[in-house]
Amino acid sequence: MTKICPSEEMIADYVEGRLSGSDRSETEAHLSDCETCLEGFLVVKSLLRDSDGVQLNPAPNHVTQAAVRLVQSQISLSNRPSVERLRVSIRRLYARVLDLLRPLLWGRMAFAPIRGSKIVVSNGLVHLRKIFREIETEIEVEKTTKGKAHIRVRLSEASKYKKGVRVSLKKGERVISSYLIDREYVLFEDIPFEHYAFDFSKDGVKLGTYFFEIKESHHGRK
Amino acid sequence: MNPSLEEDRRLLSKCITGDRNASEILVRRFSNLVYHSVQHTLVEKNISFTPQDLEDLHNTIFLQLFEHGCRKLKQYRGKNGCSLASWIRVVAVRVVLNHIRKKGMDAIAWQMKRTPLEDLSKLIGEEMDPLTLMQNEEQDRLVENGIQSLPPRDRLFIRLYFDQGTPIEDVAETMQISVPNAYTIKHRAVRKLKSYVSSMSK
Repeated sequence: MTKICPSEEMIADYVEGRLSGSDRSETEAHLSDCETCLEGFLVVKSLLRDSDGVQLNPAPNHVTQAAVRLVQSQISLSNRPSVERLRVSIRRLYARVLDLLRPLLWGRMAFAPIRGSKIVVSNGLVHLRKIFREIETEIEVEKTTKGKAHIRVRLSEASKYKKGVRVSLKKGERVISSYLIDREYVLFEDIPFEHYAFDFSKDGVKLGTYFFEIKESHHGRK
Repeated sequence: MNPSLEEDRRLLSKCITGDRNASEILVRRFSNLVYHSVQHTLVEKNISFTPQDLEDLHNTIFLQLFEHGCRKLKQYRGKNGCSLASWIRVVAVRVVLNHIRKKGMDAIAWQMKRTPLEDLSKLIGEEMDPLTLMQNEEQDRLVENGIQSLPPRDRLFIRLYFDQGTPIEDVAETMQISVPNAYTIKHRAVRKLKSYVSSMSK
């Protein structure tokens, strides 16, 4: 027996006499050996025979309507967001597995180099560019009052991701506040001078962490 | 007027990209065809059904076409000029037959499958001694092997004419051959089978 059953299209082509040569011969060989396909073929053939003379029974309106609703709900499910959700879930799982394996790999691990630059724009305003992994960020720290500063963060023009990146300001393990960076700067207001970390993530997957300290410089800048 | 293949393809590609209007058009265009195919298949297989069964199967077919990102719809090619309607008809019949196989036959179908009393003794072999039974089995095996040695078209003819008991005119129509040609195939197949069985029995 030919193991793989012919496609629906092949059967339709055979039933309506569109096959020739090896396609026809292979289909006939399969039908002669496969009870399942032969049964289907005979029903389709009889259906066509009946359709010639008999008017099709119309499907009741409510049945068609129910099928439309069903199909449209299926389309909504299959639309991109769900694909995105699946992709995110896979990436989250990957990140979790990586976290679990991290202690085992610790011996071989080293901190990834963070490249960047620091420009002191004026007294009390420092502009930083930090590049790590796939993100390139611009961070501005501006002293507002004594011992406090505003921190603005945005993704630079050259960054792989232009939006959808979440930045969380953390003090130790505690998240002080968290924003989604979307084109413009996000602002962390009146942050006391201390040790902090910025966690960058996209779709729940951590991209990297930047540890820093805001402090008064010897020159009273930062 | 029936939609052209080009229209079919356009409609299908819109459905595949998630166009809700196109999907509604497709369902409305083929709803009657699917409904009729379901009904016909159940009648043809002697399965009793309710309007609810028809509706469930009708919806199952459309669901199968569209689920998993229109995986089934994507299989349609229209390569040899097969219309979307012809393709959906075969899909519908297959879905209904699979459903029947999975569910098992209902009471009406079983009634049709009942064995006549006169055949019972033959089945349980009351009137046959073990040697005759063995010889019959051996003969069946030889015939089956003989059928396998025939060309595909002859094999299909044997299945339709002898196994299914389809009248020769219908077999000819089903296989898209002339009636005289069907008779030629019949004689040729039977002659080859006899020759095969006698050569193997020596």
